[in-house]
Formats: sequence, structure tokens, C-alpha cells
Amino acid sequence: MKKYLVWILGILLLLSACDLKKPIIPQWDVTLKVPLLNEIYPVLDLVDGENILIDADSLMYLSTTGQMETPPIGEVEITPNVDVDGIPVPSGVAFDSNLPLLDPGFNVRLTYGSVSSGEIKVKFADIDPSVTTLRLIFHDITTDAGDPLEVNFDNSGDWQAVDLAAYHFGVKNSQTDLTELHITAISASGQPDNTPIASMGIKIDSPIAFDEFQGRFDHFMLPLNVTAGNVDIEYPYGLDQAVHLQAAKLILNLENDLGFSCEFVGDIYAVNADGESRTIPIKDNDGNNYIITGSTTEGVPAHSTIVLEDNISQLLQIMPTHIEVINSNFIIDSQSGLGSLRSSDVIRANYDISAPFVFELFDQMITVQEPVKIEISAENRTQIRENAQGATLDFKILNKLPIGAQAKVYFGNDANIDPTNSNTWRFFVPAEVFALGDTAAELDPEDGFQMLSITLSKSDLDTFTEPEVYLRWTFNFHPTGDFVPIHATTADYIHIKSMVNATLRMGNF
Amino acid sequence: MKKYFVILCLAMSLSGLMGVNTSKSIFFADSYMLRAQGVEANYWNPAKLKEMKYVDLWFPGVNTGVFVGNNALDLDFYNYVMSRDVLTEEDKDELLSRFDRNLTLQATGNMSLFGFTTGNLALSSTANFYSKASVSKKYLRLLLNGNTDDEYNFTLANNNISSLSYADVTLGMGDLKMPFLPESFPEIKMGFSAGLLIGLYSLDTKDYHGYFGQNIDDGASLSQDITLRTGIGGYGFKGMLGMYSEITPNLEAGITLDNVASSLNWSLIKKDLNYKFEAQNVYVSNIGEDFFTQSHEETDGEAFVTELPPELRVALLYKLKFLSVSADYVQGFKDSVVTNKSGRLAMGLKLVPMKWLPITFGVSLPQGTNKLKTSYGIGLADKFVELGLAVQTYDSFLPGYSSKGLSFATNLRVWF
Repeated sequence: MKKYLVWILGILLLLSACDLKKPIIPQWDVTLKVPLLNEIYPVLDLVDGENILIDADSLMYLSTTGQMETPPIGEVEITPNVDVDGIPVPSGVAFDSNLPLLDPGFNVRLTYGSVSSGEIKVKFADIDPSVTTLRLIFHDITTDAGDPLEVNFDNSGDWQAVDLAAYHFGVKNSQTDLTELHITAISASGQPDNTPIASMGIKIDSPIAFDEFQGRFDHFMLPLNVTAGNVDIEYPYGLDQAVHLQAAKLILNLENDLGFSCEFVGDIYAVNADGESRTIPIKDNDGNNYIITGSTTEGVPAHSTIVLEDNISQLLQIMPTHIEVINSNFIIDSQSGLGSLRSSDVIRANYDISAPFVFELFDQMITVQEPVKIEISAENRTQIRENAQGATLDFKILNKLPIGAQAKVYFGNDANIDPTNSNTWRFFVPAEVFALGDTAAELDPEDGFQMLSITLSKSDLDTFTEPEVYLRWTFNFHPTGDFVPIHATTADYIHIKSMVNATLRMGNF
Repeated sequence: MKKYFVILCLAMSLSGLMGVNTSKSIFFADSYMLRAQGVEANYWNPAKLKEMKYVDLWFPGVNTGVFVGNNALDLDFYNYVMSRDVLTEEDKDELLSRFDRNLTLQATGNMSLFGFTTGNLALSSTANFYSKASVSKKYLRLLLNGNTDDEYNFTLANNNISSLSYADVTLGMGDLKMPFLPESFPEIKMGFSAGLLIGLYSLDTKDYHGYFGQNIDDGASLSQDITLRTGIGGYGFKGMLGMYSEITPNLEAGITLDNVASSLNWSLIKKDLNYKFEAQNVYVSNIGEDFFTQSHEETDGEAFVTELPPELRVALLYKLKFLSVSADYVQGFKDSVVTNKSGRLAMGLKLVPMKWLPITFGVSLPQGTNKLKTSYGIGLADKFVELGLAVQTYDSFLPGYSSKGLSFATNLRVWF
């Protein structure tokens, strides 16, 4: 039986004699082509709807709008020069007289006023004992109902103060200045008519405040509320560092509650991020101050528009980050003529600073605000760490803008990539992006894209061994030497495609 | 043990290997039509079922043939690859050159369940198993070289999986003399067998489309869409017609037509399984959770038929006292899981140096998709019992480093 088994085992030995290597898979290199990026960066993305807008022709422009206003004009105070005493009062007859109200040289002339505070003092002295009636009537000082102010005598013989609040001086909407106060003294006594029965005095020795005033001013200054006129501008991508604007315009739309035309006096002060500042006066092209129309209808403000172009262009050349109106006042003077005002009246100004994106560009880095985040799976991280041998980055770039730039994409593992701080990124890849129509560019004849290829080292690839990789673009514009307009249509964009060609060592299992 | 595992893995499939009718045929590399005796004649040539003094018996499992193989790799190349620290470009080219269009892994098996003869009748049953999986050479190129091309398309022809298992209960009748022959003609015996097929499980790839491409303009795109058709529980019929003649005292000639009116119908449980995966225009920077779509759908399928196309076989057998030589030529009419259109010629040799020691050798010549097969068998024979063990190697003359597939067969017949 053993003999038979020999034959059988012999067959098996044919197999078992085979020398089999241990199944250790060798290593080998493969090339992987991985599409990395396909992003369109439209100029429209620069439009933030707040400071950067587009006009009807899709031309981008910088815009800053806001509102400022004067404080309420408040009460108009005048101190009339009235001080008379010892005027005899005859018995039995009405005694009329006119008292001068304001000196001719006073800078305010009143036609009508509603008193919010103030007093007039009246004194009756040397009164005959037989006097039964003695009162003084001020015809130009009336109540709301139109009744004149009347002051009856007392027996004190001293000055008695009469509160004038809620009384009115003059006749509303009168064209005539109220220069005198017409008074009438009426008396009754046991003495024959025309017999002096008393003496009287009238004095206004403290300011009278009017919350509604009609009249004329020789000079009245109304300051602007400065804090309301401050404007801060934020430029996206640090754009202010890379461009000069060709032109700009400031439009001030004014609403004037006052019934006076005013002269607007003031300066605009601007300062940029570097601390450079400029101040320009707010004047018309002839160097004159602007005149603001006064309201002609009570409660309906008058509208005026001021347009500043030449001056504001100079101002925006420094790409200011802060603008404010300084040294500004509204002046009412004799040229304003007869007018009216109320204590609550203000002058409001809606301003609109706009600057078309007609730039002169110079070599300054602009950083795209949002970095692109790429998540690397644990498996891929291990593969890259252990197997990546090297890689090339292929780029295709289509620049539809009339400006060229050197683009750089910074790779790092920190979301806060700061191109100016090498500690925040691992490596960067530069790429020259030519302006539309630049004959120096070598373009793909099929689609017009520029082709670029960049080689990455093993050290660069180690960036991709972290869970998150961020990339951030910067652009250094090619200096234009002249002004170029920047439109923001759908046809204005930069299109970037990228693909990694990596050589990986496989088999490290 | 690891060694044998590797051999099996390497051997997983061979394009062109057809089914094993019975395990004993492996002893002769498929040159077995006129050598099949007793119960085995049910599957090879029923005409050879004839009146015997003894009853031939099959026992469950003892007649088993198993094959595993592939169409490209052998141990020699395996050793070469495993001995390398780094595969060079030349190594990768050499590896790829070994594949025609795909890597195909295949395994088949046949096992006797029962069988016996009585008179010129035989009743028998076997269980059969076929499985095959192909994957495109392009996938291997991707693995070795990376995605150096812009796009890759994958088709059903080179990417598929199939599996079929069924049992048969076959009744055969032989030893029927052909009438009306001239007296000068040698006697011609005829026979037939008819088998009831019981389908156990069927799986095949109904549809497959694959695509992978990438470029800088469109990103990476990947799509895979595969529909598998499965069936559990089927029935069918398998018929065989055969005849042979002993032309001279030592020379026999025979012809069979297998798979006559044969098919396997799957109607009990039918399911279509569809898997889809798609990702379009993907860039690393925009990969999110929903950058791809995938779906898995299982639907009730329609009844389907596994075809068993006819196959013609002619054979000669020359017998001497200590030696017999045979030659079989097989021609299928259609490619299927059990047949192919490539003809193949197989030759077998049996030596009996001692009465109890049969030694067998067989060779099937390569042709078309059929690889070279060589068989080596040895057995023990006694008056009422015969047992044997054989190994068959593919695409090499001897089992060893160059083999791309191996078959093993056991044989036990008892008659009384």
C-alpha cells in the first residue's frame, strides 16, 4: 500500500515543491491627476451694495451716503432797550405813547415773535388817593386770542414783573419791523380830567426768548452738528492701497426748515489708512459759498442741491477711510431778508459721495478676503504623507479684465492666512495673469486661457497632510500708467482652473 | 497553508475553461467521451451504457472535480513581482502585457450525488457550480499607472460577474443498435440521456457601464451603473445523444451532441439589483457631502432562461492491454457559461504498468480562448473498486510556477 501512496504523494510534491515568495506587495509609482479648483471671480463680487456699486452702464463706482443735520435752531433771544420811568398819567383821559423797542443798530429786527420766556416790568408811583382805575395797555403784546397785554396798578409803588410767556410781539406775517411798543394808560379818579394822578415806568431789562420768530437778521450763525457728519469707508480687499481714482463727486441734498435762505460755510476733511489727510473748502466753482434756499411755506422745508466735483476728486485721490465735515455753519444775514424760524427748525443734508472706478493702478497687493477651505480626509493625508513624491500644479487662467496682475495663491493650514506674514502660510504659488488683450500672454488657441505649470516639492506637499488646507489669493496689479475703467458686467471676471498632477508611491500598505 | 492559499488565489479563474461533466474526465484533460463507463456514460456518451455483469455505483461526494484559475498570472510571475522592492515601468508593462483585455477569475466544480446502472439504463445525479468574474485591464492600468489618460470607459464585455449552480437528475439509455446498417458496416451503438435540471442559484451581469475621466476644464467625473440579475429556484432540461462504434477490435469511434434542447428556466425568485454611483465635474475645492449620488435598487425581475447551447464532440479511442490512447474534438456553437465556440482537441493516455495501477495523462491543446491543459492522474484498481486522484494544470505543461490554474479530481467507483 505504501507503494501506491508514493505515487499519490508524488503529485502533491510537484505542487508543494513550489517556492512561493511571501506575499509582500512591492511599491510602485503612479501619477494621479486631480482637478483641484475651478472658480470664477467676477468683478461683480466686489460690489458690496454699500460702498461699491455699479451704475447704469455697469461702471463700478465708490459710493458713500449719509445724513447730517444742524441742531435745532433754538430760541431767538433779544434784549430790547426799554427803560422809561416817571411818566405822568393824567386823570380821566386815555394817555397814548410809543416806546422804542430796539436800537437801530441791533442785528435782529423783529416783525413778529412768540415769546417762550421773558418779562416786562411796570411801575405805578405817586398815585392819587382818589384813583379808582389805572391800567396800562400794550397794544403790540397780545395773547393767543389777540387781546393786548394789560397791567393794572397796585399800591406798592414798586416795579411789578409781568411774565410774557405765551404772549406775542407784533402781528404774524407782518412785513413791518416792530420798532416801537404802542402803549395806552387809562385811569379814573376823583380828580378833574388831565390832572396828573400818578407816574409810571416801563422796563425790559432781561432777554426775551422767542420760540417763533419773524424778522430779519443782520448776522446769525447756525453751527452744523459735526458728529453726524462723520463717514467711515471700508474698501474691500484693501483696494484703496492699489488704486488712484480719476474723478469723484459729492452731492449734498439739503432740506431747510428755516424760513431764511442761508449761506453754507464749511470744509471737508479726509484721512486715509496711512494717516495722510486733506481738507477742502465747500465752495462752488467760483470760490463762493453755497446759498441754501429758505422755506417759503411753514412746515415744508426748502430743497437745495450742492454738487462738488473738482474739490472732492482731489480729496478722494488719497482714498480716504474717514471723511468729516468740519468748520461748518449756516449763516443768516441781511441778504437773507425777511424770514421766519421756529426753535425746532433744522437744516438736514443728505450727502452722496461717488467715485467711478476709473483707476490708475499701481503695484500694490490686494488680498481676496475669503480663503478657500479644502478638507483632506485622513486616508488622503496618510497617502500624501507617506506616498506623495512630488507634484505639479497646472493652472488655466482667463482674465477678462483690462488689467493684469501677478496672482499668488498662498497655501497654509491656518484660516487666517496673511500673505505678509510668512508664519501663517506654508508656501505660495505665483502666477502671472495678463490683462485682456495683452500681447505678451501666451494663450490656448482653443479657449483663450493662459496655461501655467508649477512644480511642488515634497515639503510643499506636506501642507496637505493636515485635516484642513486653506488657500488665499492675492493680486499685484500691473501698473497701468493711465486711468482704466472697471466695469462689472457678467463678462468681467477672472476664471481660474487648477489641477494637481501628483506622483505617488503606492504599496506602502 | 499560506502557500496553498496563494495558489488558489492565483488560480481564481481561467477564460475558456468549460464545465466539468464528471471528475474523472480531468484525469484525461477532457478526452473522455469513449472512456466513460457505467454511470459516467450518462454524461459523456449514453450509447456506451450497456449490459454489465455488475451494477455500477456512485456515492455522494467521492467523485469531485474542482477548478480554480485565471487568465493571466502564474506562480512564476507572482514570485517575480513579490521579490521586487519597487516595480519599474518595465515591470508594470510586463504585468499589463499578460492581460489581453481583462483579468478573469473563474471557478467551477462538479460533484456526484448518486448514481447507479441497471442493464442498459443509468440514473444519476450531480451538482454543478460555475462562477466567473472579469475586470477590465483598464482598471489594472489605473492601479499601476494612475489616471494618465483623460478618460476611461468600461463595458460589460470586460467587466462582469456570473455564477450558476444547479443539480441534475439524469436518466440514460444506451446500447441501442443502429438498424438498417449494411452487414459490412461495423456495429453502431446509440444512446441518449435526459436530465432534469434543478436550478439552485443564478447570477449574471445584465448591464454595466462605467466611466472615469478628469481634466482641468471639467473636473473629475465618475459613473458606475451595474445591473445584476439573480434567480433562485429554476428548472430545465438537458439532453444528450450519442453513438459509437468499435471500428476495429481495438479502435472505437464516437460522436455525441450534448445539450440537446437544453436550457434552465428561472422563474421562482427573480431579482434585478441595480447599483448606481455618479459624481460629475468634481473639483477638490468644491467637494461637499453631496458631491456624488448613489442608489441601490432591487426590483422583481422577469423570468429568464440560462441557455445551454449544443456542443458536438467526436472521439477516437485505441486500446491495448497496457495502454489506451484517445482523442476528443469538441466544438461548441455558441459562447455560454458552459460552452464556447472555440474548438478544442484533447488527447488522453492511460498506462497500466501493473494491473492495479492505472496511470493517466491528458493534454488539451490551446486554441482560441482555450488554454493548454495537461492532466496527471494515478489510481488504484481492483476487481470491484477503482479510485484515483488527478491534477490538471493550465497554460503550462507541468504543474508548477507557470500554471495559471489548477484542477483537482477524485474518483471512486464501486461495482458489484
